[in-house]
Amino acid sequence: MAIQTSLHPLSRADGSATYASPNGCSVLAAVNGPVEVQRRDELPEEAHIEVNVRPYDGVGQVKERHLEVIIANTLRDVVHLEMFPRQMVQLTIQVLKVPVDDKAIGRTNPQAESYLPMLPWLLNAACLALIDAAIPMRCTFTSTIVALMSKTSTRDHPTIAELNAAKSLHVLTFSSKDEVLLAESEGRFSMDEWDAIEEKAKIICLGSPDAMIEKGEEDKSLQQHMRSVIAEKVTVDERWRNG
Amino acid sequence: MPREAELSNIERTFILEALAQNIRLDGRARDDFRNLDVSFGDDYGACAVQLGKTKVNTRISAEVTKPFEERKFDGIFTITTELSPLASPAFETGRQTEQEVIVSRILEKAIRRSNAIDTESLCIIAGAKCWSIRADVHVLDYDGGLVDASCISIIAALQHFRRPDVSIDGENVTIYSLAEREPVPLSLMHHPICITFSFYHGGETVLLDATLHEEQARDGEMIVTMNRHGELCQIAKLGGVSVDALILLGCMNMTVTKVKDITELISTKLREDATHRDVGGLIAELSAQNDR
Amino acid sequence: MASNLVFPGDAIAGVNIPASKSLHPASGLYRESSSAPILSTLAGKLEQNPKKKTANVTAPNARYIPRVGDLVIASVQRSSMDFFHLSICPHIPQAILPQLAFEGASKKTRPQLKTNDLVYAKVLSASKNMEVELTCVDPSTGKSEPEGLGPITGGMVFDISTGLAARLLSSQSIAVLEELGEKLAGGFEVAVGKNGKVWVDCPESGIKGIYAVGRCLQETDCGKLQQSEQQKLVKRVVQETGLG
Repeated sequence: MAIQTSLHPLSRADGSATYASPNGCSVLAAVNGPVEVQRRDELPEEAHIEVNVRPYDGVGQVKERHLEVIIANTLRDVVHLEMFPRQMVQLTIQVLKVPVDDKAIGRTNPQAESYLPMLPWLLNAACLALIDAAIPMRCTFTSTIVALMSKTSTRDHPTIAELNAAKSLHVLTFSSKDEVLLAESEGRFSMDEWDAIEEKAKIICLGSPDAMIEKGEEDKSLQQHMRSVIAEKVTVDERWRNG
Repeated sequence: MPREAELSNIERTFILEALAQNIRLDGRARDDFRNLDVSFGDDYGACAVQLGKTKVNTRISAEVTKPFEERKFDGIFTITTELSPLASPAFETGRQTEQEVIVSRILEKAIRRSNAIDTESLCIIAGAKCWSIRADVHVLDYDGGLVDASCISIIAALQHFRRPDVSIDGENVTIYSLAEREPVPLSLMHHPICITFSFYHGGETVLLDATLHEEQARDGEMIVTMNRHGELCQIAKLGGVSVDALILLGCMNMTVTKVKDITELISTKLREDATHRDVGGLIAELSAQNDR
Repeated sequence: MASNLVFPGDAIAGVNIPASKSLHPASGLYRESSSAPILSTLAGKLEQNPKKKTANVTAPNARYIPRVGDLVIASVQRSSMDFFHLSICPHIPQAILPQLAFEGASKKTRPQLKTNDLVYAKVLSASKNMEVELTCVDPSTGKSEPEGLGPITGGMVFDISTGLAARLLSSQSIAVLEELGEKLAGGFEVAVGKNGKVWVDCPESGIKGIYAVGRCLQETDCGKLQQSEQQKLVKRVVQETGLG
């Protein structure tokens, strides 16, 4: 199953996008901005970033607050906040679907689970929604998660079983300028292992630099996939100019 | 605090004058509903409703818990509605606006207090264990018709949901996972559906399924909840312009027809979903025809 | 696929914009300093105007960001001693309009505007550190013409995307309006606000005519309809309303 994305599914939010990962996660991100900000959040030189992560079930708690802070910090380096002082860029992400473990009856305590597996999809959806809302950005970015199963084996797009059995989990975000914007890890690993994981994540997100052949759907890097979805939308949006 | 932008005087005047000539901004008749689409997710109890541009998702979840002290033989059913900036930049997270409170209360009365779910059937061991069913309503896109769309999504999701099967052996309760035993549908007494009526021109003109602009231009509204047997579950007319009683009776008649149509639509969609899930599976097996 | 498609962060080569000119956020272009290269901030088509030495990246569905010289349709929210406070777009800080910035206004004859009245105004100043200031007169002539600035009465205002608004304001003709001009008896009047609003009035065809124009514009916008589709749409709507 491939990644599925769509742009502008919502009519009221300035920009929106859905992102569904191969392992069964689906999120919907919406961006409003630049909009008015509460007095208490107003910043004199730049826009305030507000991130809300709404979980699949129940109300957002500690885990969601933690994700919100990580996402806001990542966006701070990407969005041209200095263009809109004393205003706000507001991002809301709703988790629509989570991968279901066949054996589990219900998730006994979602708050106790790792916060990492959801993070890359939240970030990818956020990037698409920001682009859809025409918020000025310095670059685009893509994220992925890699699980270290053993000394020599890694998995991208890990299933629930693989996530639970992994030695360590790593989420990496790469900007379109080849920079690492975010690196969050959990578990035990050596620096050599981390280097290998960074390499692998970079290829998943940005593609391998020496590949010159036209790739099939499954081999496209995340960035290529994202760009082709955006290109399609721009083509449709510009169509009526000829009318 | 963000607020929904108010209608300009020109827009309000035009909407009212156009209504006087039987014209609605999207070309519908006065008693037409917008395009209603009901779909279900892969999980049981996940329902997405689209009414025009309004999009509402409901998710049903179940967990085992201790029943309330004063109601030992009943299970628990709660509905939570949260409006977020996804649906409109006018909504804020973490802050209950007046509208949110009203929507929650109407849905409570319409579905919970009218005993749509047979809470006695949720009891596992009296006074000790029961099922707590929770309906989470997520409003994704808001263009009017919030109560109507939310109610439809909750009722459809409740009919779609399957809870894990349990067996009781004295004091021991065994809860079977989805892989061990087929999950069981909820016991629903009836299916209440809410219909909102909007009043204009001092109560003389009535519109069904108002869009956001039409809601902003209205003088008053009434929400009627009924099931397909024509049984009235609740009526809410929270202030607004006074309306002639005969007109209100006319609204009740309209409700009967609309509720039947909507209930039928939900049933059709549920049947389609069941077939879709069952491709080549049980339904084919249980068929009495022999392949010769 | 658009050949001049750019993404945020892409370097824009071969664009001749004087180093002294500042780049507005809505243009989709950014430059760190006057000697730094120009970069794109949005994903869209790059448009260049070599004669005027300008360029921009298209974003037809973007939220409106005020720019000096733009014509907008704004809604009065309240008035203080010397100013009206207007909303150009929902959820952004309000703009100010001096009470005397109307043709023929003096301290004794101020325009009487109520809350939620609409005005057709021009953006006088739009610095990012101050409130946006509007005016209903041409600053050099003191007159409200030729743009027809001032309070708006009658007709109806419809919401459209900023992209369609920019298109309607440009000199390029658009099939849907041409077709409507032919089909509607007595024609129609429009005033376009770059903030995504269009005011329509039909002196002869009345409510039905206004409804038809608004509906056609909005459906063209949502469906991104092309020329022939626009013409078909007009024929259908005119027939439905019983005007043609």
